[in-house]
Amino acid sequence: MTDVLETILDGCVCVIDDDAEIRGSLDSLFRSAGLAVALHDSPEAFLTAGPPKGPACLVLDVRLPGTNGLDFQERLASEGKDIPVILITGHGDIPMTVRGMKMGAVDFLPKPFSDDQMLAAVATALAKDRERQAGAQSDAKLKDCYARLTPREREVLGLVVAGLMNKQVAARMELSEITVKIHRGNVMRKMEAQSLADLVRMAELLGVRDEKVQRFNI
Amino acid sequence: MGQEAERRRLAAQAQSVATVLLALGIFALDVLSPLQGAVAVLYTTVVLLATRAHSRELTLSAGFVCALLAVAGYFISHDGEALGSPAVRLAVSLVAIAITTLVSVRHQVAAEHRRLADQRYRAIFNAAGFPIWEGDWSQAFALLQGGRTPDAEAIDLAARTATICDANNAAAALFGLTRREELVGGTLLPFHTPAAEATLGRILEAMIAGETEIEEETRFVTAQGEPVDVLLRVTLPPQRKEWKQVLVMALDVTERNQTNARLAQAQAQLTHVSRITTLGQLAASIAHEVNQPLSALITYAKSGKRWLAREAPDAAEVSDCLDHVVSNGTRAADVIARIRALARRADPRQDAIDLGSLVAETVELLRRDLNTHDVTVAVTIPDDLPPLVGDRVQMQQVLMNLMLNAEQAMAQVTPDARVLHVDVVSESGGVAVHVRDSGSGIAVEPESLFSPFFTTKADGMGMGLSICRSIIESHGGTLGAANHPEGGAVFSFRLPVAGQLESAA
Repeated sequence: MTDVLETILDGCVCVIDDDAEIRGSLDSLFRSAGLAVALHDSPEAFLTAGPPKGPACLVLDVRLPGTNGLDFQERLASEGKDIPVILITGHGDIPMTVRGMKMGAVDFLPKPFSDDQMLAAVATALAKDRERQAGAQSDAKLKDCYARLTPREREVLGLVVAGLMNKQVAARMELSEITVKIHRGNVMRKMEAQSLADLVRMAELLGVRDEKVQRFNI
Repeated sequence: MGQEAERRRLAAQAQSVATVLLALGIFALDVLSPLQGAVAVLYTTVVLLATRAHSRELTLSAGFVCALLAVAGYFISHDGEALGSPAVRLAVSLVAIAITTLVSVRHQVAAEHRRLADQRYRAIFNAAGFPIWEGDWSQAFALLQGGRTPDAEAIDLAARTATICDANNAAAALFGLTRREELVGGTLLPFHTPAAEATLGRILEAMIAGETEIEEETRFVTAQGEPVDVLLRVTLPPQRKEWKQVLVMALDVTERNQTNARLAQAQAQLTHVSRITTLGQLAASIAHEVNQPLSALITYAKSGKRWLAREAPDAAEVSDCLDHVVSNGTRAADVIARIRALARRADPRQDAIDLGSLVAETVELLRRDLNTHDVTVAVTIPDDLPPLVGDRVQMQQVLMNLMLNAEQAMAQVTPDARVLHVDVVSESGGVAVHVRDSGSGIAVEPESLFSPFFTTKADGMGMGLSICRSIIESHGGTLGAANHPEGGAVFSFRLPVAGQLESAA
């Protein structure tokens, strides 16, 4: 097991558990590893406090008074609040574990858990969240770039990434090949694409490839 | 025996001959002597002698014959004389003979009755199926008469000097002897136990106080060394003063006591089994209850190590972690102690019980289980509860049973409507506890819930409430069930306060 102690972690861990001592012990553990901690005694308190800034994860007790941690996890997912979740429970069984993991829990730890396991799970969860947040950032940028394209340029982009040659694009759009080349240059510049391959990847992410068009079957 | 009868027969014959000779002697004296006295009065001695034969007819005929002889004597001596003093003397003699005869006959009848009564008494005494013996306690009486309290020394003396005048065969059998003669003439000292000594002290005390019928339960040992429990009834016959004849009847209750002891043991085992079953129902929440502080404890310990291992160890954080290690360890130990007290198997004890805190503790014990079943608990406990005396664990068992029953009764109700009311009420002379659920109530005759093996649960043994009732009743209280006017069932038990329980016991 990697010694998490060596790598001081960065991020915020939210804890929802109705037992004050369990919350307190997790607080001490996470702080000793250099993490920020937000403690909540119920899901409502967590929702009221709002999501923390920066990479974060949620350590969630399955058995909570009046509600079930798994239900809350489901609710978060359905509301699009995709904070990585680590489930903890005093008496987990297989159906419970399966349900939690299917819903994307990072880990499912039975109490009492080892500190290494918990910190490793938190590290994984935070990395996942960081990645998610980074991914969300680049997505937003890509959409910005795409928004700057003119309708014509978008049309050219859709056909180019479908693999059509300039000549074919020009024919379909009833333009001169020169005009197509200009449009294509603008697209490459506005999308900040380094190569056609780059542009193809972006188009895939944006979902703007014209599926109806095929290079050899016009 | 034969010789004795023969001798008696001979003596009787000799007596008859002597009586006849005496009568003839008096007759001769009367007729032949020149004495002028009422010699015929001497015939009364003949009548008196005749009474010794214990026969009414013989006495009457003796009187009759004597009268005839007296009359005959008069006519022989004074025939033809004018009525004078001899005639008066004859009349006096006849009256004397008549009175003597009548008195003797009456006396004989009375004696006969007495003899029959005595025979009957002996027959009953000897034939009775239960042990009876008569003791001569006169020495103890002499010692205690002077107002001395029966201390150990006096009891010892009484035990040593109270000889057994008579005893029946059942008494001999009670003490493991084969013949009653082995008992008669001796004392009960070889069969005494410390308990018997104490009992003797109480009996003496009561007798000094003037009681004539005393009942005490005690224990002797037989000649074989076996303990034997007896119920003694000591009777002082009214006409026998100075404790010369104390009648003691005994009832062997060894078997009854053993049966009772076995019954009590079986009851205790059943109670224990039922308690363990109840704990079994709580196993999941108990496990959680212990696991929770242990998890916290382990995490605190690990994080304490981490704080120490940092480049700049943080003593304050480490100290905080250690504090929590201790408090969580204690918390886990407390849970275990509570459970162990419930699981322990012990004879019923007499503790002072604060019912309020017991109810609160039991609610805490069940809190998690109640939470899991979405049951809201409302508890009212007044401040000024009188203390009770009884077995704390058994009492908690009753509370647990009633609360868990209530929880199960509400399983079909919507979670929001599941409310468990536990109300402790101070009443005159006691305390009442009402456990009320918001379920559908009791559909059957409430009393039938308390019969053994009655159950409404698929996996129920049907012993819970029956055992609860026997626990409450053994504490001098009552347990009943009813439907609440606002819906749901209410189980109530009432217990007397400490002082009243002792006086009732």
